[in-house]
Amino acid sequence: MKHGKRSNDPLWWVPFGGGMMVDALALPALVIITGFLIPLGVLQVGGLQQALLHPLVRLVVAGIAAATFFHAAHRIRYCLPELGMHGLKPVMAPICYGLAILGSAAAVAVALRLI
Amino acid sequence: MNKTPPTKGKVREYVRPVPSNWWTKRRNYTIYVLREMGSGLLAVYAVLLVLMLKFAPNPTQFQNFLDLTKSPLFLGLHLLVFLAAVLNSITAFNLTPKVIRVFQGDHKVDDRVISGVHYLAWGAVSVVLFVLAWKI
Repeated sequence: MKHGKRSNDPLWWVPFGGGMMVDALALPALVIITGFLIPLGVLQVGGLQQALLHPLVRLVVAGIAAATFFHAAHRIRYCLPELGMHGLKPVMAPICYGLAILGSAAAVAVALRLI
Repeated sequence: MNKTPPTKGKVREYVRPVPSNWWTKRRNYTIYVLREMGSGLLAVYAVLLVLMLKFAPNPTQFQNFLDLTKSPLFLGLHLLVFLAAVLNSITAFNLTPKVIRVFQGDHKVDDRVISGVHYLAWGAVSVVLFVLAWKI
């Protein structure tokens, strides 16, 4: 590493670590609810649809989505080049974190009904 | 200006070739790669969550989205997402003693207690989410 050049990794580690813990705590139950219990008719969907209209619920869901985007971006950034795609190494950070930033902005915009 | 150490002739760096399937050779490596790349499935699920937010204000669009999630393709996708999510949860909570060090006086709190508290929190959050989904 050149002198004076600092890694920006700690900056990305915070949303990554946070996202990993948010996903670890909440995603398995959420996937069971929205992926199985509601589609298979075990739970009524009306309540969920009403809840998803509440501004606070919308922001929380957007927050979980944003946390997940940063979590996945950081993992894929390092893992994909290790699977043989070494040429991608220099472009992984801008692509992964760029998508995470765009996805999070879109999630918040959807939550606020701007788009 | 940095001066590079003198070399005799041209020296090429030796890069040990690693086959792309290195991660299938050892169980730990396989779990590592499945966890890392499985996070991509979690991101796909996050996109579905945002779509649910998008469609919720419009009953017709929401119903169409719901019908889509009833298809075998989406049930299969959600099964893969669930497996990736559980793998992330277990590996994250098993890792917590490495990140969090708690001391009681001079005595370091046992790793199993730190992990255990996180597993309990996982259970608590899951129960709250199920009860909320049940009650609304």
